Amino acid sequence: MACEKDGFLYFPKQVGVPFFPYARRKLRACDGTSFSGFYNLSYGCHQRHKKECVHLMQHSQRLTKLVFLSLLSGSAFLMQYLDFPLPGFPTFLEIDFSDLPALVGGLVYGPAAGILVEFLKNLLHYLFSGSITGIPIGQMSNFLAGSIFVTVTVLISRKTGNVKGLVYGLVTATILMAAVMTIANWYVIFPAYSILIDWTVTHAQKMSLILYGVAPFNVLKGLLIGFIFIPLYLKLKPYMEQRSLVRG
Amino acid sequence: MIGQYIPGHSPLHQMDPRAKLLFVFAYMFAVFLANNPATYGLLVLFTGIGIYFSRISLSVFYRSMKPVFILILLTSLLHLWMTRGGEALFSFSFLTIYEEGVRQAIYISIRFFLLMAAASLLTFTTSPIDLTDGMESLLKPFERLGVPAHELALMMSIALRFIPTLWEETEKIKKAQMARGADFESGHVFKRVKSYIPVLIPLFISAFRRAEDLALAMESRCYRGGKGRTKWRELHYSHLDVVLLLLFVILLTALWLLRK
Repeated sequence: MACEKDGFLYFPKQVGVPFFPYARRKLRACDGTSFSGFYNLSYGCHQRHKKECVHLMQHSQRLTKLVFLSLLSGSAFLMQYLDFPLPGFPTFLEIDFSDLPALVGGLVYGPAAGILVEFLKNLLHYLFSGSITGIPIGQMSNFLAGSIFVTVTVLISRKTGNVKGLVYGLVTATILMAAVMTIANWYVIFPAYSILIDWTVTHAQKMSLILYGVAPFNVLKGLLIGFIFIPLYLKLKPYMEQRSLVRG
Repeated sequence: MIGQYIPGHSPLHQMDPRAKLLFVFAYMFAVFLANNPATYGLLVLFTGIGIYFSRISLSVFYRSMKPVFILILLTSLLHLWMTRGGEALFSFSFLTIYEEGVRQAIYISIRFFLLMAAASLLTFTTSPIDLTDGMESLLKPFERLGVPAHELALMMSIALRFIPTLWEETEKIKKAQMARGADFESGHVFKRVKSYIPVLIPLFISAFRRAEDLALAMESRCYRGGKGRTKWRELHYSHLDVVLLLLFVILLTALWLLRK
């Protein structure tokens, strides 16, 4: 009457779904360890119903992703307040952990998710603390730096999927971020500040500020974040992989 | 804890968040139009009236702007020292202060003050939830271009709702690790940064769990995205918003006429 295929029993059209619970699925899918277990019926069903289950599951996974990313942005925003001013650097350059949640989000749900976390973090920061210039230049440059860092790291480490790939990704991302931020500071950010707050820096001053301030700062920031992210990744790996599997 | 919203019933509180957002955005550009004493005076007067009508005490304003004062002071000192032009007013060995420098320093401090005051007035009189609602509604027209306005607003409000909870949790984890002998304060930068790893791991794991719980709770209450969703608090423009618009138009015209 019914045929079994990949753990489900399928009934022909005329028979329909039995109302009584049919306990014959593998335990793995409904033991509560995986989130999707909730949406799989505990009894066999028709293909159409199964499709509906899959649809529901995808919808709920999208929602979980949305909620998870917003929680990450909230924690990233909080981490921005735990900042460490570095000795020997100008005060506007501070190191914080706020890129870590974006990295976690990026590794679980892809580079776009990481960029979204960076965006929301900076939007929240602007809402709460404002900006000295009115137009959020500091937040924009933080968003640019963070997005480059997260995207490059995620793209490279996803190719290999192990710690080695992550290390390569972090190093490449650090170098790329420092390079892009140096160029952006030279051509966009410093001129923007000088227009907005009339903070005119002479050519030599600008050169020294960027070469000895901004560039090494970004390298150091990338290295510190990488240094702290690798042990974090090792501990969180089982959790992240579980989510990535559920997603597929 | 975080967040500057002060509940109240002043005219500024009652205005529509969309109107306030648009106004502050436009005002920040208008401030850059000012370039002589008359225009700066007008803007200061306008902002002063705004502060008066917000019914927020000046001491609160002072407290929120205190961190910026140092920056304002530094920048104006820089201008005092670096800008050359006009008559020399004062000179002492290597330090010469010119007329132009004094003027620039005063203008810059006033501009700083105006920008900060406008931004704080917005956050003082509008709750973060209202702000997100306003942003969602302002972004609605762009939804056709692919801007996920509803999703962004939902994510913002979830983040806002959970910031205090996450903060509490961080503090709790920190205390728990301190009870186990963790040390967050001493040592060089690398050591201090490293000491935060045992705080971050539980924080992320709890975020994973919490996200799944919350998503499940929303699902079971039939959350189906933004389409056809009703609101508890709806936004309405009132006569106050019309007044704000008129005031802004008058201000802009006056600035344009008084401008050199």
